[in-house]
Amino acid sequence: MRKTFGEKIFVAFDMFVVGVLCLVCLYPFLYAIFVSFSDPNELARVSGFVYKTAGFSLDAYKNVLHNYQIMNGYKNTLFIVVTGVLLEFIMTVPTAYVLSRKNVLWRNGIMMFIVLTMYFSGGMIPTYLVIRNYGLYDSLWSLTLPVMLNAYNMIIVRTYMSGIHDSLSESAMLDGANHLQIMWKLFIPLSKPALAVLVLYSGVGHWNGWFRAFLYIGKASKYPLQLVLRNLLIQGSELSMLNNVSTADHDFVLATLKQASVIVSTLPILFIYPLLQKYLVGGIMIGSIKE
Amino acid sequence: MKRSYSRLLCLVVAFALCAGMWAGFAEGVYPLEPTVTLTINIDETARESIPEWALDYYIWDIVEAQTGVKLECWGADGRGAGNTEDISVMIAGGVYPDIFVNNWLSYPGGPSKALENKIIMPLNDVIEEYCPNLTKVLAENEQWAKDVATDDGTLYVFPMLRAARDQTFYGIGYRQDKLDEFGLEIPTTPEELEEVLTVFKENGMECGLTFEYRFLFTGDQGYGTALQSGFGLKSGWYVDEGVVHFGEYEENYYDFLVWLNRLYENGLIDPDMPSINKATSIAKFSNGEAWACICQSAATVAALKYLNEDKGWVGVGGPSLATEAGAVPQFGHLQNSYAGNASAAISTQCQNVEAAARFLDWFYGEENLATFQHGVEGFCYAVVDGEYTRELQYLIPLEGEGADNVQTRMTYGIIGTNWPMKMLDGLSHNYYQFPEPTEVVLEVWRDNNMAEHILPPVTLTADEAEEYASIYNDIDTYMKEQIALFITGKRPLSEFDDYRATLEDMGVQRMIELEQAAYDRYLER
Amino acid sequence: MQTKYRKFTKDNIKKDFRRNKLLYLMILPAIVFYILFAYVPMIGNVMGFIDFVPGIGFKGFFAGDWMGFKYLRDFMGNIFFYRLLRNTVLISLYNLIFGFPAPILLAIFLSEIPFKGYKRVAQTITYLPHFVSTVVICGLIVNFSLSTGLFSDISAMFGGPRISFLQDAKYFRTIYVASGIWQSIGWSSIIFLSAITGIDNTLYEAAVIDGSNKLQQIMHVTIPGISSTIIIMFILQIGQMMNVGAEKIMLLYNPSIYDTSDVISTYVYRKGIVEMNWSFSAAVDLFNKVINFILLISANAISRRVGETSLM
Repeated sequence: MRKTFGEKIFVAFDMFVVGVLCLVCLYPFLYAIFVSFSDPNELARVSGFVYKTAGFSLDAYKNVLHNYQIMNGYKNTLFIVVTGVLLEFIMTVPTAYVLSRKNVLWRNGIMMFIVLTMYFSGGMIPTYLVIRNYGLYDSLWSLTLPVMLNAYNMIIVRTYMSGIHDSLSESAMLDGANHLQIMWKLFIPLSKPALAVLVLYSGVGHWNGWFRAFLYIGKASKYPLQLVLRNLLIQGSELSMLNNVSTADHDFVLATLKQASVIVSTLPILFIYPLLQKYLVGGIMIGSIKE
Repeated sequence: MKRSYSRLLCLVVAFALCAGMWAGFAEGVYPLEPTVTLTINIDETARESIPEWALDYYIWDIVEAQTGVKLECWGADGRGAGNTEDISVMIAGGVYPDIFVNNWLSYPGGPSKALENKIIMPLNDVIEEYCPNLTKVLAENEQWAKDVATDDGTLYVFPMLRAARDQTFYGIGYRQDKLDEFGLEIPTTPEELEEVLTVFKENGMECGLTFEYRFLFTGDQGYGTALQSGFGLKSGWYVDEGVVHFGEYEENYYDFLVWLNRLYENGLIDPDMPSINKATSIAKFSNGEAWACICQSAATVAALKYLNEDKGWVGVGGPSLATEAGAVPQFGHLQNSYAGNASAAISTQCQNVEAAARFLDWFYGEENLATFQHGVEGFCYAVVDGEYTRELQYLIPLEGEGADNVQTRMTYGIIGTNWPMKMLDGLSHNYYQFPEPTEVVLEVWRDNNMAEHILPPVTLTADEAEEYASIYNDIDTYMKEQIALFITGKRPLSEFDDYRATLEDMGVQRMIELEQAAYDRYLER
Repeated sequence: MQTKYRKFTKDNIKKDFRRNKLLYLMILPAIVFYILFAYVPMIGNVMGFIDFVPGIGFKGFFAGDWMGFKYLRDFMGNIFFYRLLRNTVLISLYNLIFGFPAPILLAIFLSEIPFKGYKRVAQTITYLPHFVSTVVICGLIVNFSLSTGLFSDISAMFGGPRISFLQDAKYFRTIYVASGIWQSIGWSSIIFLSAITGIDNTLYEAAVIDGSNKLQQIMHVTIPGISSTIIIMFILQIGQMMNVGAEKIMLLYNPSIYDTSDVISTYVYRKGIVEMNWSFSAAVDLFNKVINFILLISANAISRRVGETSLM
């Protein structure tokens, strides 16, 4: 198809705007790179906008990679992400499948039952008490079991599945297949894009999460990466009220260390992302296929 | 070869320490038999992250060997103040470690309420029976004995007690080289400070006196007190001849605001002051943008000279301001020796109260102080000509990443400053890169009359505490906002009386009444 | 949607159960899950009405005195109540007006890029800020907002004054909402981008034959094609009106701009969490939840009546 002049202008404008946005979005990451490779003492003298490294030093990365807490955090996070995604997958798919079936009397009732939980959670302390009572405190399972079904993600998958044409399941039914078989052999392959989104959202959610660990994990050896990182990051910030420790001033060493750990904790997920991207294009069609 | 030498040395040291201890205790209760495991809410370095070269000297191993108590770290670390939310949920949750470390003075409702809620247990009998060391420490110091009990004399905590030299750590820092350059003296009054800053400004200082806004308030002891002292008051609570005052409600606070507002308008203090944090303000002082700063650490001021020898920069500590030249400054930064933080209570869920008590008491033993506050000799310190030194050349050479750094050695070799114990005088000097120059700065910061004005750790009754909290919280929000507006000129100072009237409407007088009553009860103890 | 099984008659229930036994079995784990992890803790909402006693677990909900609406009254009678409510709602509203369309626009822009490589790289880069911790992002924003920071540099470049942006109450909402868009635009655009990809290509071809230009195609094909996605996302967002998270605000604000930046969650943090005033926090929390839920249900009902798309 030949492009008109107007279209060319449009595409050029479009790419320009997206390009500018990319620069803006890239900055926090570039900043982290610049600071993490800086020499702390040089960095102390920089004021204003950081657009290059101040001096050069690999100490921050050496420190991070030698930091047992961070490395151990990786291990814990890996476990959490893998079990978390698996559990969520196992729980979400049948739920979404059932709720996408039309001839189910209690469907809307169950839907309401689920949506209600999105709005009336128990709050921090009651949930904490429940987790304690179930014996999950201080266990990595406390970070995955209580969130193994996310209503929001489930709605995405369910809407996608309702879009799959009825004739497919009906003919399978006539061939004598039951719902389990239809779900397994037909709907899972057909819903790949939505499931990729589920995996991405769930995986990234577990990767980035720290608050649950902050509440439910007592032993430092079980801290996930992001909690270790956060404890490091909030040192000296408004959220940390540690201000009476009269130690020598490590602020600048900390600054480089903080950013190095940001890089180290973000890289893995960046490498995994392109693997899922191919399913995503053409992925979520929440409601876009009419029932 | 080197390794076996160090192992041997360690053994010898450990043996010597044990011997000393046995001599010190007729009963010889340590190490406890059989070994006990106690849970505690601190977050200690994981065993796995200790480098091999430090293993033999790891302080918690040594403590474990000597006390016979194995600690299981569990729950939110209660030593700092950064875990408020976590501690809050833990308390509500109802499962506690045997030894519960927290600032029990700041428990809502005070220690009495924590006792009443059966979170921690009263310790009078326990301490009497199992804790000769703490009993001795408290018997020798009347002030401490008063501070660590509630009004009715109930003991509830194994306190962290700061030594006199470690109670002050905030103050003003100046650039000595700049003062000299323009022929100025270190300012001692608000007028002189204004004069100095004006000259600085005229001569190219990019950014005025810099500090974090919170410093004007933080804590009852006040970090920005050095400035307020020039107007005969300090932020928050203080005592003047038996009468409790609340700085922000004082009429004189107006003069302070007028002065600070003028400085702000004239660009003599950091224009970004309300929105920066202390790290930024210190960065500005360290990179030469600002020539005066309220510093959180004397080390920052002292280090300026050593880190910038090429540029000829020199830092100097400035005294708290006095109301007039030649007068003694009345206020300054000073923390109560027992400020409540990093102190250990025994929770009501503790199964082995005796072991917990004996374990905690161990840290108050005269003979044991050196062990965990200085570390193993040769690893963390050496004695040269009868003086403690931490210079690397006198220490046992060890190999490995970080072994050639005394600070790193100390992270494994001693218990930090936050632990229920009686701190050795000058313990925090362990942490300073340049101890002597830092001490010079601290000396200046300590030189004031604050000790006469400090409000001791008073306790409110549970009912009072609830009323107090409901008043204080809103007042705190209101005054911090209004004072920021006054300083930056967004609210005219002519409305200061309205501000005070609003504070009255919010119940400031009742709040002062409650605090006064608590103080009077404290004096009665 | 309409089926003959809509009525809950005894007969229907029986028939439905016989027929869909397997389906109910398949959803049983989800129901058990929600009972265990959502409905049991829901009992805890009672905390807002009693004087919670700490230290005794679940019994603490029933051991304390019944306070009724005391905590809610305290909150509503507070001198800051009006301001907190106003700030919370305004920030949410601005977020809805500016923050909501931004990822949709990005998705449309991305989808119109003809070069695959550029598109993929651009996607990946715009997601990046989502992975950087809020603490780091806020640290950057604070630095940019200083009188010596980037924003002042830009302002000075255009002849404006150098000011400390986070000390002027009137800039706070802009900074908060804009930085929120910066942080989440790429990540939120995933949903819309995929919806666009799901649009039937023949529709575009037909539009081209009709002689419509790019803009017309976007207006008449793309946007209608993703409208149901937009509506569902919009409904969900309206149900978040009272939720403005404390963390980011606490990292950005300072007392001199409380006037526009202090919101319900930050106030509850100071009053409820730090003071361990658990019942108070719970009462305010419940207040927010009820308002959110009412908003969601209303939005859902309006949407169902006006259009055809709805959540339930």
